[in-house]
Amino acid sequence: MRIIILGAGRVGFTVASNLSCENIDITLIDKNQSVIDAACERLDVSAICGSVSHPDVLESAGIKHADIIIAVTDSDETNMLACQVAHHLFKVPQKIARVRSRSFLDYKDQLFNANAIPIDLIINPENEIVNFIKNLILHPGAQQVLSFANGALSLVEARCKSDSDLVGKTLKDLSLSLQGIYARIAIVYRQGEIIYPNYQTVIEAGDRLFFIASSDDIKQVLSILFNQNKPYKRLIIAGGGRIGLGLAQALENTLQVKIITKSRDKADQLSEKLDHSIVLSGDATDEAFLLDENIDRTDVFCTLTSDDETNILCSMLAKSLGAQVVMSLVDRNAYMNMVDNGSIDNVIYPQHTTIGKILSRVRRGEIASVHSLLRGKAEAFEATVQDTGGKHGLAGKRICDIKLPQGCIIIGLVRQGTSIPTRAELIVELDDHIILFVSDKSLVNQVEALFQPHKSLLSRFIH
Amino acid sequence: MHYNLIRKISGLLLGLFSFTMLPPILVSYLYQEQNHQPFIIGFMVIFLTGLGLWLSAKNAAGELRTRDGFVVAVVFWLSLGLSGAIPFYVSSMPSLSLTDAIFESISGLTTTGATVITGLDQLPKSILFYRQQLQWLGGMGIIVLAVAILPMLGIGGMQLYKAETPGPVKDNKLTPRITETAKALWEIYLGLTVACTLAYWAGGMNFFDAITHSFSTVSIGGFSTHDASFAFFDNSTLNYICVGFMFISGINFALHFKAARNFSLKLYSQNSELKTYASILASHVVIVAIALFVIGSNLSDSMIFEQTLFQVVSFATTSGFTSSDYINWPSFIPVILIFLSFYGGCGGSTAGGIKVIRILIMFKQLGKEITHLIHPHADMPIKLDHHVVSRPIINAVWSFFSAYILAFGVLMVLMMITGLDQVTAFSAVAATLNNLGPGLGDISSNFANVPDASKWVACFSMLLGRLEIFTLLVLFSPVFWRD
Repeated sequence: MRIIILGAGRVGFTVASNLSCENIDITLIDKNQSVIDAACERLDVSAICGSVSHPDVLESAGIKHADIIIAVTDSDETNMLACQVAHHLFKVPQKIARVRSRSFLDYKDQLFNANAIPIDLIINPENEIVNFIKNLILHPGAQQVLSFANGALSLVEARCKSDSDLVGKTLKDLSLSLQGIYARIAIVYRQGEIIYPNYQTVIEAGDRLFFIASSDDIKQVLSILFNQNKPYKRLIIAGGGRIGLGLAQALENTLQVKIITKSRDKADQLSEKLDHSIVLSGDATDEAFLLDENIDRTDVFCTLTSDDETNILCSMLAKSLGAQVVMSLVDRNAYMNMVDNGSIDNVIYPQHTTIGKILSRVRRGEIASVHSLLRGKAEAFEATVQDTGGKHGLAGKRICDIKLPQGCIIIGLVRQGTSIPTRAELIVELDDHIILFVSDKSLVNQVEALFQPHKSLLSRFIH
Repeated sequence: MHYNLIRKISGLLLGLFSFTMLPPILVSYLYQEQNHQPFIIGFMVIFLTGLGLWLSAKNAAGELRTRDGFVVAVVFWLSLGLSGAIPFYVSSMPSLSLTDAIFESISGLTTTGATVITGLDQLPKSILFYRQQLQWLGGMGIIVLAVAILPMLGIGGMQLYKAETPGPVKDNKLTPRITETAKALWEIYLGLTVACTLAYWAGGMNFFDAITHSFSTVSIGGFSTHDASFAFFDNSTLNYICVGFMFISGINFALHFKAARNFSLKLYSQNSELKTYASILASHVVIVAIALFVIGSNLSDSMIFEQTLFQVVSFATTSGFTSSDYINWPSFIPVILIFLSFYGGCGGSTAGGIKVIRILIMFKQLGKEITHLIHPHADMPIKLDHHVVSRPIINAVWSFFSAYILAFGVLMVLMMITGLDQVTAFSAVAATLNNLGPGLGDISSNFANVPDASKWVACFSMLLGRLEIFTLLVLFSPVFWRD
């Protein structure tokens, strides 16, 4: 597969480095020579310096043979134009573009179709991060909430602290305490290792539990298991960028939101757009300022500036001043290990939230909702059972009879919009959505093949 | 420096190389020569060394850094040169001293084609095959081969690739992934070899000669299975076939790749390096032919063009095949031919020397300086095929040139210290540094009669030439070893 990525900014670079580990030919185009040099040095991709929407540049990048283009430059207009050029001049089958501006998105259906601006998938990383954080805040105790099958089923990550009641209990005890709600602990991540638990597995302090449950039950499950029955009320956001503003807008009607930004001008702009939030202009690393704003009585403190260092230090300061839960946006891989020790309650890696949507387009077969887990090591995704013809189809088989590669398990199944417990004897039917967990990305290809129409030798030869 | 990783990769590469001992065993079996022992010993020693190195650092993980790439490339070429000598040293036919065996092996791998063996025609076919095969492996570079078939090298493969491939512009990959690039290069190389074999076979060689000579033609090596080299065949058709394939192999392989992918020959006519390469060859053929015609030689008039063309192309591409007694031509002609080897082949080909593209850039720079005297305020970037050549590349070309001249001077003085006369020393350094092969004076046919010390200097010179000076020289700089 050949993919051309336009714009080697944060998103472009991350997508390139994630995809180049798989069997994909990547070409990066950017107009900044120094970014291109860095990409050549660090990634196994080819990189071209030039203007991303110019046909001659695109042609030199081999767009004639490309399967997908991903336009993620800073400018919405450039991205849209590049997709148009790619569609009309080069007939690229799949076009993914980042469009951030609200005013374009309001006319989404009229604008982004084959007759006007041909874009197959619009991504908006900021929006996805906002949704991700919103989910965390609405589900106290969760580290990640990832939804599958149009929101019917959710995979939730939660951390088991040393003072938790769960320590020392087996999974059997837990399922008894749930009083009939179906939730399954699918994976336990313990000291860098993935464990596939059974009923006898004992939970230890520091474990990261991934459990899957119907989305409506998530809050209840969290409150039973982790005693988190009190929803968060007071939220402080540090950083008034797109993400900060988006989060404030999304939550200002349900929570008490304060948003801190450094410059007064920025504060003015924010206050125009926000109706119920309190906009503060000040330095979020200033101790006295935070104390004035009752940091010790804050439920959630979120640092969402574009600067990793500020985010990390600011969160630690807030935590030491008494904020109940601190969340922080961390972009750089190098910092991830340092902050993973628990000094920050929720570390949000924007890279992994963005990549999922693109991955679902890259994957073959009927694959949807791909979520990158454990810092990109593992993956969870949803696949639809199709009529693949002949005896190779999955439909009609029992779950325990499906041959999956080592390291891959079925963690959930959704039939007609409702979640069904995945017992070993359950028989898979057509159009079931199966949620799979893959512990190693290199296995994804093999799993994909299961959900693809079976190819005869001849048709394989022709392709 | 990641010594563990370097050990692991070197071990892997040696393991890979050990398998190249198997085809000669097959040849020995086919011709019933009972000469498989040297290769079995070679296989065992190299394989076990590789395995040992690999086991000692089996768990090393991580990416090769830039400087590790240099170390691996140099360590590998050195150990390959040494281990490739094992069959020569162990074999009783020919019986070579250690120095001679190593010289022969390095001369093969670097595609130089200088030999210390006389009486090639009497040697077992398996040894002859092995010599030719060494050249073939060295031509495109066995590290490039490894990058193609060992995906574990990953991005580190790029560092190795850069350290081994010739030419001033090393960053542009042909395909997005380095593995694919290396594969593409080897596919073209293999394709050319097969085509060349068939052409020789159809032209009248026996099958063994056809294969072995195609190995040394496409790799621009110059080893032959006969003492008389191409003169043995004395066949015009074969001479022209050889000229054709030497010419093709002297062209940048990236250009072959692009032309093949776009199914277009137009790319060839648009490439300025190729145009310069062709005109250098044409002008030299004209000069030499006229000189031979006017001054007179032992050749018949009808043979002059054919022999001139053969010798000019053979020397320019640094193959070093000989089809006639060029050494007895008017004395300035052999010197012209030796000079030709400095600037004959294109960058990114299997040829040695400074490469046409560097000469072209240098001449353009020269022209620019002259124009600059007349228009002091003009802004004139140097362009190649309508693209501006960046300043760092131009600087790299000039520093390569000065390093080449410096290396040449130092090596020539060393050759003279070890006992060669001036003409022999001059041509010996040219023949080895440019990976050419034949020289003048005492070494016009082979290196058998030069002192051992000179052979060691020659070995160093061949490696220096094959790795384009800097890859080897960088290891001698104190900065490299400072952490």
